[in-house]
Amino acid sequence: MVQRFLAILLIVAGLGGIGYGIATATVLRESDTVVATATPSGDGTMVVTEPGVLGLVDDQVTVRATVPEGQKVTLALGSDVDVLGWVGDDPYDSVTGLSSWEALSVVPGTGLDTAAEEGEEKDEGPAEKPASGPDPAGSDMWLSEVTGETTVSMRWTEEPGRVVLLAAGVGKNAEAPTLELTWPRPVNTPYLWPGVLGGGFLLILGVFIAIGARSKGNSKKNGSGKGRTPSTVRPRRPDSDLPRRGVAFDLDEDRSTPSAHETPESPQPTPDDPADGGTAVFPPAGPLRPGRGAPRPSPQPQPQPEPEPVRAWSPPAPFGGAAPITPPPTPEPASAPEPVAAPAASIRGIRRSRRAQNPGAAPAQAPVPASSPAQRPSFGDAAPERTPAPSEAPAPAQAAPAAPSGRPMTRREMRLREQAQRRAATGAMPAVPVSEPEPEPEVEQPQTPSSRAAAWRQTWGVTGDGDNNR
Amino acid sequence: MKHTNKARARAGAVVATVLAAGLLTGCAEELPTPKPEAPVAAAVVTQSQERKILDKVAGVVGKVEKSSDADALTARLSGPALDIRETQLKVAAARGDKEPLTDLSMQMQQVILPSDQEWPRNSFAITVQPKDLTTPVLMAFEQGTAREQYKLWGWVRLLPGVTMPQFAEADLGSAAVAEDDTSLKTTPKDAIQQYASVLSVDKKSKYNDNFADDDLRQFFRDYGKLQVNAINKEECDGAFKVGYEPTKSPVKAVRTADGGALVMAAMSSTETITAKEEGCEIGPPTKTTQALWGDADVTNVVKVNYKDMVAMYVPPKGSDSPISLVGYEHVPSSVSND
Repeated sequence: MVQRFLAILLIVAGLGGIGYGIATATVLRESDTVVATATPSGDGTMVVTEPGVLGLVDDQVTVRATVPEGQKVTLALGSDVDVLGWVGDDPYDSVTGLSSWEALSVVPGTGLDTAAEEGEEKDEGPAEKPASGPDPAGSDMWLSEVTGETTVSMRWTEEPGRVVLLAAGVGKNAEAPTLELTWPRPVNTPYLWPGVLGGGFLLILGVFIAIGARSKGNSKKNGSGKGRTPSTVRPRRPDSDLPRRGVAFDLDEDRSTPSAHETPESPQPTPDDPADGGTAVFPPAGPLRPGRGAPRPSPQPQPQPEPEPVRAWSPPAPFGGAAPITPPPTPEPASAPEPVAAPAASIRGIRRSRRAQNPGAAPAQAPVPASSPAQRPSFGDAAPERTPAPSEAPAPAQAAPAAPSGRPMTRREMRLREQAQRRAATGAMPAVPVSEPEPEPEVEQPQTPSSRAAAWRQTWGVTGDGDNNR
Repeated sequence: MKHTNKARARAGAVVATVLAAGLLTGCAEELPTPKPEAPVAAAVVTQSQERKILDKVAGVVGKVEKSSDADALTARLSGPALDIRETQLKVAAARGDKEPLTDLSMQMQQVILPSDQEWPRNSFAITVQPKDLTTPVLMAFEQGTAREQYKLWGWVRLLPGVTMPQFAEADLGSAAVAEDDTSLKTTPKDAIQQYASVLSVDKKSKYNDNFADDDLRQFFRDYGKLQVNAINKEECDGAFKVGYEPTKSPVKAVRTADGGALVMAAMSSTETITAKEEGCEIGPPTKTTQALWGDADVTNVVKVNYKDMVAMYVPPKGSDSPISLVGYEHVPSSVSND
């Protein structure tokens, strides 16, 4: 009981951890954007950001400026020198940075250094609000600008340089606009994976303990809970149910399992054991295989019965009925060596024949490229050489699938092989020669264009030396 | 039981750790502070901005081809450029063709951008060779105050085969040179004064040594000789005189890479052709002056007033090189018979 309680506790804690981890990345996640607002202090009709403010949180910023209903507002981006030069001696508000995550700090602007000096000289009445807000729209100096009524917004991706924003209320009785800067913010979720993984660990731990507790209970009760444990997959086996069920968790019972297998069918247990998890289902399917083909062994036996049912598979065939599992290993070695040997020889044969051609053809082409008739004899020579090859050819064609690597063939390979075999069966000579000459031109093709070109060049006196040198 | 207690304690510890870690997350990040880039020495007008400015100015200039529309030019032309363009439009109207109009299409082969942050700011640009195979045009633009736009302030046609001085990289910008800058062979203002004298009296000017001979001076020599010869053919004792004066408009100058300056200024000039012999009468000498002449009576004098623009290279102080003309514009504005 205590164990079960602990298991529940762990499971709950695990779920909680996972839930919390996910929550930090979803509902508890901080906002993706920082939205900060600047409320103008009241002097002037313009608000200017200081250099660096636009890129304060992120390179991408969306600026929104709002003025009282129906009034005109202009946003302009320019270098700080240009913007402050444009503002000149007019009073303005300067946005210096963030005062909190929601608010921008605003101070009365002091202008450019030079402008400030001038301002001091003219100190008598600089702060008076102009009757009409000047409109910065359309200046040659702005990198970007937008004008509209009541609310305008623009996006800006920070560029190198000291780019600042000028927001101006325009027209009679204009007021400085309220600025809202929105940046995307990279929000990291440091507790997502620790939460999920740690929670998952606790959960798994809890589940195991729970299972442990239950299996103990089961072993005591001995009858109930058949359908839940993984070992229940095995009941179909010829062996008795009882000893198997406990196999997963009970060592004592495990001993009985091997004993059950110590029958003449000794090969069986080995393939079976890994299948403990539940894949053990397939042995019963074994008998069906010759016909339908079980998932794993099917690729190999399936095609082979058709083309060469007798040769390749005749030995395993009896096995197929008797011992479902052993056949796959046996046929493989049996088939593998045979074809491997055969194709190896035949391939060699082909290579030889090719080599035999090449020396014949290549020299003929290289030294005497001009003589196209010279090539013909070489073809003629090659042909007789190859005539023996066809007889070998079907063998490699059939064996090819297994030969190259011994790995199970893909369906395409099998199909190709079937076709080849069919062809071989219907008319050995026509099928093979057709396919045979093909490789020949393929091999030679790369040479022919150049050799033809060379021949042409020589014929027409165009010197091919340059090409050869190249 | 011991076992379960341990396990429970362990589990509790894990849970506590996870929760504690979770509770710590809510803490605030530090507020970022602006980190502006340090100001760098660069042109105050970028090349892309300059391109837009050129397009806008060219758009205005291109639209105005009639004298009656000349008011529209004020949006993008100022100073001598506005004056000269209006004169050209007037002359073109009188002649009935567009030949007097300088090609001011603004496809540039080089721009010389300002590096000074103060106003007025000046930029210069050299056009590619115009389609009519006249020489390229050197233009000067001015932004008088921060709240003004860049406007075409003046232009000259470059002399054929002239070599322009080197300027700083366009992105770095070139510094403006004050009218009375003393780092040059002569101040820009003096250079213009002296050149006016040289153009007026040619080699008799006391400043003749400061200046290289140039196409404009040669032009007046040839042209004067041509007119005088034509009058003398009729045995009317011809005389040709040209008088140059700087105008009151400021002299613009921009620093070159070698420490000299490219100086640009407006001038006005008058050429007077006289037939001294009693009873001789002469009329306007060129197609343009004929158009401007109208149906005025002919006398023994033809006086043609010109609006001029000159651009010259003034070498730095201590240089052996003379001041040399790089381009000029010479636009007849009016003709009189006295």
